[in-house]
Amino acid sequence: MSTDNSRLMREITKATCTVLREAELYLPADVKSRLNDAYEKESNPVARRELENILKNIAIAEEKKLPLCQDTGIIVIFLTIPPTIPYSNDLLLAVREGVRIATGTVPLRPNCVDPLTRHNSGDNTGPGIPPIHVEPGDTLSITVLPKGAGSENVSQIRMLNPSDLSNIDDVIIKAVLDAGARPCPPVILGIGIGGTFDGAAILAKKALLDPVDTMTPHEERLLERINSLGIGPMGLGGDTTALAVKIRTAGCHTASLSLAVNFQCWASRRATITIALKS
Amino acid sequence: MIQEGIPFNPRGAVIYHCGPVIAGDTLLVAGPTTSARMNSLTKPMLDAGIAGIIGKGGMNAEVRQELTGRAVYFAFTGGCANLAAAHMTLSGGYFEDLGMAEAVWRIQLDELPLVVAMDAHGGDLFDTVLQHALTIFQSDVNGKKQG
Repeated sequence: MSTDNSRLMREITKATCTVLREAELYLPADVKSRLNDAYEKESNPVARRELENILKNIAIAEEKKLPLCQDTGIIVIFLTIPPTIPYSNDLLLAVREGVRIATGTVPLRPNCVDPLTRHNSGDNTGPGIPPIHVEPGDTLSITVLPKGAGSENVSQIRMLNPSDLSNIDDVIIKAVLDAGARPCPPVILGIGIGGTFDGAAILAKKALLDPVDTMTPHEERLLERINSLGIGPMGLGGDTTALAVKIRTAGCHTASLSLAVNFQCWASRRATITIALKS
Repeated sequence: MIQEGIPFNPRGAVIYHCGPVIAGDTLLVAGPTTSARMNSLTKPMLDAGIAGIIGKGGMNAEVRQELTGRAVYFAFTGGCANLAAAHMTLSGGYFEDLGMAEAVWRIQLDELPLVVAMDAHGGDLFDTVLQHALTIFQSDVNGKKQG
């Protein structure tokens, strides 16, 4: 039993390394397709050049098998565990170990520091890092979302008045204006509406996991308004300020209207691996 | 760093806002980082004689003013770490004990497709674009109020 368990933990560590490497090297197909479409449609010559650089960079990363961006991020992790696997600290440690090993093997830039002393741990782990979100599921799966700081730093959380509901789109657009050139546009917006203070933030983060090849009419409307601003790739002007908008909602207090806007750069890296379990 | 003195000759140098991934003595990937984080740290470097800055996202009005008559800010495409590294060679480092992203690296640059985004005459493409975007937003909001 315990041998089986340690074998499974080793497998989880290995799978974390594998899926993290995949996420850091290869942009998901739906994101790539959005970038290609943007390049085809872009009318501003400076913006076209920026998008051309992005497409070239994606190709070089694939060919050289190196991380797309030097900001390999804080590795945000989402686990699903089936009823047959007990939720344990071992499980979390196995994932964490995968991040530590991948830092050396991919390699990743060590990004995790103590918030006060600013001492770098050197292996992308630290108290609470990597964040690991666990949910029950049918399979044992590991999803990684490497999150760069440029886009994370301009993200916003607002506790609005419920009477502000009719202006909520304006608040979101204002966040895009505040962010300006800093989050590496064209961006993807993960938006959480509802939930508690912390709940809105995780909704917004999870919205960044959602595929960007389809959008709801509300998401499309927001995308159109954002792109009408003309901020453009890297904030140098152009038609493509955002690639997609994704919204998730949850119930909230009758006196609250929480809104979280999590920015993601064009290098919207995410990947999932499912571990086959012996029956 | 200022107390200890700058460990390289800043006169005529170009500062690249970047925290690269380095393996041994090879620069693997090295795209630009958000320059605005260095807003308050830039005047001393300009005073020390640097001729340019390469970064992403632009810098504030204070830096724009400080650039006037002495230096230029070049924008390079954020996230394009492989494209950047293809034009760069690592030739040394300082303060390496601080960490890979925190150290100062000496890089030889061989042509890079850059945009002069903040010039030496007060021109600032980022600001022009953003002011225009704010105008669009404001007229949109005002239009809704009137409608």
